[in-house]
Amino acid sequence: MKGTSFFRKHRVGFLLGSYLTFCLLSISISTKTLILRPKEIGLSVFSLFQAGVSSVQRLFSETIDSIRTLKTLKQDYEQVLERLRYYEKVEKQYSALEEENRQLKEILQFSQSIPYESIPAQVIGKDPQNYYTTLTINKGSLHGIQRNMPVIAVQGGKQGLVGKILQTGFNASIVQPIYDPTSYVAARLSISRYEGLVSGSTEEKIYMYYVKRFARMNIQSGELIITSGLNSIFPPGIPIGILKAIHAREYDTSLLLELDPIIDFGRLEFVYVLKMQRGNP
Amino acid sequence: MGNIWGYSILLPLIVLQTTILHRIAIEGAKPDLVLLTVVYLANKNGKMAGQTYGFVSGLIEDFLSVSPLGFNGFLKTIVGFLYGLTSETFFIDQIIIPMIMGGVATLLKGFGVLFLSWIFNIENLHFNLFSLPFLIELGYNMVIAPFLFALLGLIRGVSPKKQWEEY
Repeated sequence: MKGTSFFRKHRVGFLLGSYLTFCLLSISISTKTLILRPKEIGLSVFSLFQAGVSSVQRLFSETIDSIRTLKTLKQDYEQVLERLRYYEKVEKQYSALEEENRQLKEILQFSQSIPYESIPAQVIGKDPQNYYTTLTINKGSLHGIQRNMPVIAVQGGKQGLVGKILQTGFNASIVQPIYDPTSYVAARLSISRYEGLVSGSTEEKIYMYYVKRFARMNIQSGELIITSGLNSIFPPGIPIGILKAIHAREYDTSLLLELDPIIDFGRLEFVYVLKMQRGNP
Repeated sequence: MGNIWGYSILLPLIVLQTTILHRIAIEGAKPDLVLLTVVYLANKNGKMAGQTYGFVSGLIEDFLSVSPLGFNGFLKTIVGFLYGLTSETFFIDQIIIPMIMGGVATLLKGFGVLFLSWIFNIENLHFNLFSLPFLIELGYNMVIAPFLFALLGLIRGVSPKKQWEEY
């Protein structure tokens, strides 16, 4: 009886202690990178709500977009007709170029088959807090997605690197974008072939680090930066961004390159997760 | 331990926080509506309900975040408990006190993040108390708090019955 009344008297304290103990134990287990089933289950369950709200939001924005599209449709039609005439000319040249390209590829023994397939997914949410930059997509381990798989997207006909899978639930996954300060991608300049490491920063800018200082004379703004494939996560040749500015600090032994990412993350809706046949840990 | 009204408000807010709210983000910083709601609910319902609201909402946020499970749960439990202690201790006006409450809660959260990142080696966390995004979030929360508190005040179920009976 005495014990019960003591518990009743201090029940707020007991409950607070239980909550905080649970949280701290949970953080300590999670930060030792153990795979927690409750986390996966929670992500899966609550991401359903995210998916629902995301759909409603998309419905509204698509309706508004449709009205805007109708207004510009006639104007676009005229432009398309003009383009069609242009493409008729281009098509004539295309066959010849295609044949030439095929022959060149054969000569270079370039592999035409991609060694990995992709899983299309939709972006359904972002991290609730400002100190994480991650995105949530609507495909998870049930669809074959695993940790560290590369994620790409296509915008305006251009393919670009989005990031990598950081965590998976059954039907949702969390993606770490390349502008995250803790993301690192082995990269190279597509023309001058110098290598470096692409990472984000707290100001949401993307930089390429550790480019040799003597490369200064051989590189210029506008050059494409692609994945080098030197780490086991990202396949080679995926465009990351365009070189925007070169920072050569006197005290530094390497150059710091600022990039404009190929992907506009503000407009990112659909992504492709690459099922890498090689390089998966 | 809270009531169904409180949780019915918190859950949709968490979903909004992860889906739509980034559209109004400035320099990547968005307001923390869930934190402000926990503050309001805790202040109205006391420390027992406040800490439980904080624990549950923080844990749901952890499920939807890359943060370790318990990270947001810890932060919001502390905030819920502390604001529960302030229940019925002072008069809440329409603007100034909600702004102060929102600002202090954001700072508490900030110090909590620093504390947890100091104790645990938390991956992918990039937080600085003096960074522009945090200051924007602080300002955002202070501006939004009076409006949010006024809106929440319109919902009868979120406050204990006796408060309504007084009017």
